[in-house]
Amino acid sequence: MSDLHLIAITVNGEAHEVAVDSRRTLADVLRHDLRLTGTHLGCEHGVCGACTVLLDGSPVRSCLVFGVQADGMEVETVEGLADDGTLGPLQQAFSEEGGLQCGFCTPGFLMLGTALLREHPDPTEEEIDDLVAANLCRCTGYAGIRRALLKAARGGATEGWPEPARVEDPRLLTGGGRFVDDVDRAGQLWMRVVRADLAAAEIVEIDAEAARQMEGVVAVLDATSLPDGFVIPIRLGPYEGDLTPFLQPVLAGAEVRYVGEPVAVVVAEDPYVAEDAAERVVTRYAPREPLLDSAQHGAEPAVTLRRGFGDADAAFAAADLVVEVDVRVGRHSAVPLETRGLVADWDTQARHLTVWGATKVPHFNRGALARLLGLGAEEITIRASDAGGGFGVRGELYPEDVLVTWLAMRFERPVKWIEDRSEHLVATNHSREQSRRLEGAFREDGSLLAVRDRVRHDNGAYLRTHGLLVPEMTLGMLLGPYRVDGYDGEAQVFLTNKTPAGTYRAPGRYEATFARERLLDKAAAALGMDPIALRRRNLLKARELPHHRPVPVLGHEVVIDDADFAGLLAETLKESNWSGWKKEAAKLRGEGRAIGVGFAYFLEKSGGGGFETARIDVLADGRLRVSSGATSLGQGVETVLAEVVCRELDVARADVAVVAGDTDLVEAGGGSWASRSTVYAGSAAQKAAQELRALLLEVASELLEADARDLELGAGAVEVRGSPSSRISFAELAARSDALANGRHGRPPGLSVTATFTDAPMTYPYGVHLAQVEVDRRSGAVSVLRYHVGYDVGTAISPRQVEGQLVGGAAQGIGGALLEEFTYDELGQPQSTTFIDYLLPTAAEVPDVTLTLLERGRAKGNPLGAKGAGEGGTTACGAAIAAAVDDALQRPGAILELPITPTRVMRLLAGEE
Amino acid sequence: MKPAPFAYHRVHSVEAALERLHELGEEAKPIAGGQSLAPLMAFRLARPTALVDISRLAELAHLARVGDELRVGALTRHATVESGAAQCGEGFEVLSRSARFIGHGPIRRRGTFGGSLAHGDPSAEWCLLALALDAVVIARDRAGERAIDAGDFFTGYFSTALAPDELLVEVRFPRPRPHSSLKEFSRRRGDFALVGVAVALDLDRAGRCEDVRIAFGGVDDVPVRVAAAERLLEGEPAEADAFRAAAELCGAELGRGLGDEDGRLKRRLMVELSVEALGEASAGVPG
Amino acid sequence: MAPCLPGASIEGKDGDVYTGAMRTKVGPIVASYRGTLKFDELDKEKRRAVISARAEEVSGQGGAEAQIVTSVIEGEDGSLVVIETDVQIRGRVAQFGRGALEKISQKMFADFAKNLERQLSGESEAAPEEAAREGGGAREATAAPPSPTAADGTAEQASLDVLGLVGEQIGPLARRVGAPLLVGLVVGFVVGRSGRRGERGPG
Repeated sequence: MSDLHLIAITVNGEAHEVAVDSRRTLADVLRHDLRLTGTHLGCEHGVCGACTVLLDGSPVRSCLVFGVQADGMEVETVEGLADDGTLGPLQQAFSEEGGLQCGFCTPGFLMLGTALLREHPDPTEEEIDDLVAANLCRCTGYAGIRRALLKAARGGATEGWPEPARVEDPRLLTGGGRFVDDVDRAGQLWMRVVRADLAAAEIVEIDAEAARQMEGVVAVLDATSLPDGFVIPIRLGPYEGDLTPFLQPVLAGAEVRYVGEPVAVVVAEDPYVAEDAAERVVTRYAPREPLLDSAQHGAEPAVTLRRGFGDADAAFAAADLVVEVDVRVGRHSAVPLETRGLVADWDTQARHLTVWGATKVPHFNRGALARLLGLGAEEITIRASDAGGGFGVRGELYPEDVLVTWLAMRFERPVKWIEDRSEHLVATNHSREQSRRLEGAFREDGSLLAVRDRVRHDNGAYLRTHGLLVPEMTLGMLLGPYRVDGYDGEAQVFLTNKTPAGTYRAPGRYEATFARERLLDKAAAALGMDPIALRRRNLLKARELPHHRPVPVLGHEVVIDDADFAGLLAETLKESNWSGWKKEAAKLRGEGRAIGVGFAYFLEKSGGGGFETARIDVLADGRLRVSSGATSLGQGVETVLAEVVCRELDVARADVAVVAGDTDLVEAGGGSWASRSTVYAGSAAQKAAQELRALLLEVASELLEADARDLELGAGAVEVRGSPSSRISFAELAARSDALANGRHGRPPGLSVTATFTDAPMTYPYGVHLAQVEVDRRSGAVSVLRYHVGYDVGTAISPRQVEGQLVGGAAQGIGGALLEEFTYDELGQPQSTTFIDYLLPTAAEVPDVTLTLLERGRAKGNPLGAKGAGEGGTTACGAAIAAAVDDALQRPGAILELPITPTRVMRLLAGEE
Repeated sequence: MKPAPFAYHRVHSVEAALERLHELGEEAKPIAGGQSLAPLMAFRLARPTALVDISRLAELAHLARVGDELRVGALTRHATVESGAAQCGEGFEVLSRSARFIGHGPIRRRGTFGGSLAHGDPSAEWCLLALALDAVVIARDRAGERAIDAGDFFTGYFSTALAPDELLVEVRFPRPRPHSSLKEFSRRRGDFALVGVAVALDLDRAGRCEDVRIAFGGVDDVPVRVAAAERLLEGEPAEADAFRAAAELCGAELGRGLGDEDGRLKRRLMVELSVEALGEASAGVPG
Repeated sequence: MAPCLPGASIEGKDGDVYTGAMRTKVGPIVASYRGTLKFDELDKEKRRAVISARAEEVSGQGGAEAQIVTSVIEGEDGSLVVIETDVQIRGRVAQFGRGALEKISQKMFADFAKNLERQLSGESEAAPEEAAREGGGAREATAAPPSPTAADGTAEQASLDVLGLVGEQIGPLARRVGAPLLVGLVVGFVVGRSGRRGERGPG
């Protein structure tokens, strides 16, 4: 049933007439009817603000306005902000101040800012703060956005700045990004997944007749229509025992194991109709008793992992003091602002499948899809696209990826699927849920002798692509930067009737750091020691490095090769004015306020195992195109690769284009995960650039008839040293290396090199988090007043981006410590299925995060000396904030559970009354 | 997350809106700013078969002082109240001050005063203030107008005394209440309040409380007043001790039966927020 | 029993299985269900009935399964009607936050209480408002699931709105409902939720 209206709207000064169904949102009219895809949809229920546009000059959320309501009105979108192709001052300020990373929320903020500055050319700081708090950003931690608005408001932005801060910025600031929902293919069908609404049940019958009869519905299929063996494979070890019973089928067959599990798919001509039809698919179930808590009576672990070394038992027997903590970290996850999605286009004649939206490990996904679909890997191309944040969950191979591609082949038409926000919150990997009993054996002087670690890891209903990686890593990384002679670790992995869990920024380490640092705080209190002194006693010293720890992390045993743990601590405490924070907190406590400070040390890991490929082509115009198996997830990898190549070949950044994650351009690739992009893709790009330099010099030496040793390379050209007239540009070198010329010289045509960088050892960045918080005794609410991260990144290729990663990471860590949790009712119905219930922090909940960034422990295993920076901003947030809340309440060891919600704090305070 | 199908009707007069609503029956809904209804439609929890778009009825977008009364047209945007109520004369500043608790800027720019009341969210700021300031809701149907006391207007969760073919056209605040205040707590900026309280009182020459109103949101299906606490304060000096006693009584009255931990939190918030609100109200308009 | 259950219409009967529909409206939120209801046990002597019901949402994706056990305990002051419900609500309604599910369930609980009370007291007109309010008072103590029911429980709508009723998180609870309206009779509800689920087979 449709109710069509012809509306007239003016968009960015241009008049349009569009026929719209009355239920079509203004956002969809702009995006899909007018193809103005800069306006993004992050939640479709008015919370995130990514879809903000100006309607008759006033900012509105275009997901909450029906297109028909805008009839006769003027709309302004991000595409209208840089009409003549040059960035306006506000856009420029966003680039200069790090106001964007993935760029998905950026158009919304730009439209808010545009309206504000138009109405109040000189806004107050409070007005700016209110504005920044109105929309959600998952990457930046908001500080860059606030700075950008201030700068634009105060006239500080450089108009027409010659070079944007990041290669990614110009397109993302003008609505020119290419996110998966921006891809529309002629004749495409839309897929909608019918999901289980019971946590545990046998499927008795799926009745899709009513849905099939609906106009616009092409097909409704359930598991019986799928080929055998459609199961999501594990991508990463360890593989202990037979894990096949725990793998997720693409569509549930006999039973469902969590609410949100795909049971059928609808394929229709239109996404609205597909959703209508999905509702009409009736699944009859025979419910079973769900397992929702690993502590539930009778719960048995699916797998038990044991890791350890030394003689922990003996150490415990000899200890002066044994301290134990029972801690729990709540279920939360990455929740990027762009949901998942996929578009697949199958060319029957050419037997070729093209896929958009698989952004993380495209080469792995290509291989897995090839196996499942019965194709050769060369018959699949995964195209690079922008992604609205990844943080671990995006781009893994999920059931929907298999469905979309398979359906495209089956119906010989392009198929598109865009996850909606409620689906995302039950379908995309959850993470973090662990309970843990940790015991430490201490000497009287505070030395930690041994640790006994018992983890109950709730992995939800299935093992997906991450397999047992997170529970293994939480054991492997538990000991952090400390010297411990005996470790006895065990992780029981429970499969419960909840959404399957996988990795999320600092997987296993966020949880382990919380547990370990809570243990050390408790030990310090028990021994009457200053908590920092206790850490100092146990931190590994320079002369003890490299330190080998026989527990595996991503297939490598831990080897901490270079670090200055005590030095970083000292510098961070000094730069942050830690003692000032402490004094201030004590003084304010004296005045009756509940303010405290907390501290946590952490060890991170990055890279580790595998390889990455980089290819550099000299284009006909002399510019360079760098292609990589890494993918662009908002982390700025394109900028990093451009930076590396520019340095190596002395070219201007404007002359380097980067394509990240197109499987046609590089044969094999590792992808972007585990903070590995800079380490691997950066090193591969460096290697390729070095090889290209040699090639350019070789070709030039022939052409100039000069010895290569007498040539120098600079500014996009090669010349004989001291003889500028001999100069020969890259463009000319490319032209003189065409098929004809190179054929003569016995070289392959073109100027193109591909280099692979393999198997660097894991790097171990490390750092310190400091927090100052206030507890509101009326409500139990915790607010973070100050936050500081100290971090040693080895070598910062792009320091500005390292800062952005750390600050944004801290915002996510704070979210997990205070606000974010997936909850379930006692029947396993998820209770966090909207952005009204799953609380992502706004700018009002995130403080300005300050940094101490060191480049001290240069990584030895890669030529850049780089350690990853993607996760260290997040790792210790739970631990540091918990310690600060303890201090605020003057109750050492009180906080044992994350997130620290008002209800949980009130439970503690109730004991005081 | 796309809404279920509906038919759309734009109207250009209140009369036309009423005709349409009557003709379309119970399953039709008026839509103004849509900031409450559209999300429920996106979730498909609400599935009106038809929407009557009243957002262009300029006659309902007024904000005016008439004698003692402040009259707020149904289509007055939250942002207009935020910036405009203070100019409507003294004694209504609480409306402007409270508007900033409503969502965020873009929501306040589009959402309407009447829409919020008609939606009847028990934690909505305007619903609480309507109750605390003894507002009268003017509703119109084809037969004519009627006035509904705010105390009778909210009938249940998201439910009001409005008939399906009746339109809320105006809200009247009968007299200035310079001694009034709204306080609320939410875990995250801009969210619906977990608990909110609106209070209003008059002070006699001796500084004693008169005509006290204390209304809570977020603790029941509808915003609720605590008559016993209001009586307790009547004639009492506007001082901290009296406020705390009244606040404790509120917590005890409404908190009864809130046995679990969230209930404990809500009870505590009721007490602490009402102490604050009473304190602020008795101090009067800042400046 | 059936007339005590608010709203909803019986659409047919096949053996001891009734088919029916119901609809509850809370402001703009509508939940409509269609399904079946069956008396698993009906013991007139002991005044005990065991009813199982299952329903699917009519327009949305979701549904409900319920088992309802009613029994009567004779006391000196009257009879205590004990109703135990074990309800599983699924789908959007059960997942939406801000207590929507709770509110819908409360409304049905209140409607149910009102109708049952009216039935037992032999009143034919709608019960006074207090009854509903008092019934609604149970809402603070109850914290869970809803179910379907027609919006207005008039007596002629012979009702099968059994699917609804309430869940309870804090353990069994007996509550007096609208006692002043009833002569020598106390209606009580013992509501239980997941804790009791083990007692029934998959259904």
